[in-house]
Amino acid sequence: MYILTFDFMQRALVAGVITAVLASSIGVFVVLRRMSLVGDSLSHAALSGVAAGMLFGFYPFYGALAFSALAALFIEYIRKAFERYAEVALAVVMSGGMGLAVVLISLGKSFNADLFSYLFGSLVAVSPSDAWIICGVGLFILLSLVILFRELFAIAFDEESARLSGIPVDAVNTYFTLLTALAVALSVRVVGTLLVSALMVIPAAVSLQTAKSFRATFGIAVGVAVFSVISGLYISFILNLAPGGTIVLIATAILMTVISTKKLQ
Amino acid sequence: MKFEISNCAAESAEGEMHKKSQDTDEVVSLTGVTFGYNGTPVLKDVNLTVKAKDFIALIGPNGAAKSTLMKLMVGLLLPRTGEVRLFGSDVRRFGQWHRIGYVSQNAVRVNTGFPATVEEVVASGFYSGFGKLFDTAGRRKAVQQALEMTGIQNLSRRLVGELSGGQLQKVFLAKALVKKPEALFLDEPTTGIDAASSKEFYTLLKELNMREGITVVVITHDIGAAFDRAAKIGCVRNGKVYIHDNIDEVTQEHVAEVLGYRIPELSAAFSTSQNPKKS
Ligand SMILES: Nc1ncnc2c1ncn2[C@@H]1O[C@H](COP(=O)(O)OP(=O)(O)O)[C@@H](O)[C@H]1O
Ligand SMILES: [Mg+2]
Repeated sequence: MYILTFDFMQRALVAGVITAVLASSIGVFVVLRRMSLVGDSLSHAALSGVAAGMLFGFYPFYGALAFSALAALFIEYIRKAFERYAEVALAVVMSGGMGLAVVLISLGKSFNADLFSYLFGSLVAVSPSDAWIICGVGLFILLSLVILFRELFAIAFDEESARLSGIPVDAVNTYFTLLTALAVALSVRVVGTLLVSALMVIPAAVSLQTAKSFRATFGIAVGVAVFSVISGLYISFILNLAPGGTIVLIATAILMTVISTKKLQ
Repeated sequence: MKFEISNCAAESAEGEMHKKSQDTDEVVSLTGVTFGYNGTPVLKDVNLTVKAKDFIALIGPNGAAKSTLMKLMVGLLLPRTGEVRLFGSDVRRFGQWHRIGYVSQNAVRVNTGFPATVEEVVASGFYSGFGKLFDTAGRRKAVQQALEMTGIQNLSRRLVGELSGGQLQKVFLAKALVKKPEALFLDEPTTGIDAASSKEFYTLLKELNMREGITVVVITHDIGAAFDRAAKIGCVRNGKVYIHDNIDEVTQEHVAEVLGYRIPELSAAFSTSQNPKKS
């Protein structure tokens, strides 16, 4: 475990594990609510925040947090107008975010290594202050999820009857999308904007294949995500690969193994 | 149209009901309710009252606005004109949600494959307020009772995705019962379920109605099974609702007229329900 003697590697691991726990537990709800693409939409918005930061000279990570939070509110707003076609909101934000990002990047002519790290994640990119932000905001998100767990479960299962139990469904939904946005922005440092969504959806997909209860669904998703991140960071360090891609490939391999062994039974 | 006039018991009863609108034995009342989705109304000037301990089966052809009517009753939809009162208070200001249980028409269809056990699903119906995470003792007891009432204790650890339609409906019933409601609103709980399970389900509802005094409003196409057990029949058609207080006055001809077609197996149901064996 000599890799732990590197400061940047310690930070990457801490940030990565927090990212994994957040992305996968949020991912379970996201998948069950048939909003699997929400991570993609928000991460494209986060990318435009990164580009804006590079262009206007503020810290791109803050740009990612702010833009993806704004996008979350925007998604909820459009979703109300297209109640029966919630995906419309996701598609609009995804392409809008990407369009904005491309324009900002071309304005700033800033296609450089830094941008590359935001796209695909980076081991050395997690600065000490990044690590603190990830810990702080991450803890806040986790606490929110614990407190809202019963509400989120009830809404994911049956929104109408959740409403009738007296749950403020619209408020909880908006808050949850905001949490998702924050989690996506946090994940950007380690896995990169283009791959965040995979870390939300793939572990949830594995757990849906195997879990025997809702509690187990969570446990399995978090376990798969954490394992993928730790082993992915380790391998990407050894082989000098982009960590985001390595992590996602490991998670995908787990999913394929689970699906094929299930088929064999 | 003859039957609409001659059997329109609800309309005449309505006037009397109004004088005592604060009466607590009124579960739901609709007064002059008109509702439409995109301009054209699907319910026109509906007046009806559901009283405590009623067991009402609502029938009507597809698209007659039965589901719409039920959503208006429980406050999921708000009327464009007219008033809906739940337990005496305007539905817009109603807040005692634990007093009603509702199972929507597509509850079963939407949730196939949801990765949760029966116990977890039933427990999710027990909502005692924001952030109340640790009311575990009260919740576990309520869940246990709801599972017993519906006779599905043996399924408690099973995944809901693995259950049959009939079992799933009992799970939804238990989920609605877990908060010990005074009234149950069920939208087509037995559609797509085999005859035996359907019969069993209505018997269960009847028991809940008689023994626990729970008011039941159920939308159904299972006319035979429901007629045998319900105390009142409500017909929804052409934007109007007619409640028949005396089920015996609803003949096969009436049902055929409401639904627009005859139901062959109904004669058997009528031969039993016309008997005075109903309590
Ligand atoms: N969300 C909706 N938006 C627009 N029209 C609707 C909606 N829900 C139902 N309708 C229409 O209202 C009418 C009544 O529907 P519904 O109450 O579901 O009937 P039923 O339950 O008796 O089959 C139908 O014509 C249906 O097409
Ligand atoms: Mg319906």
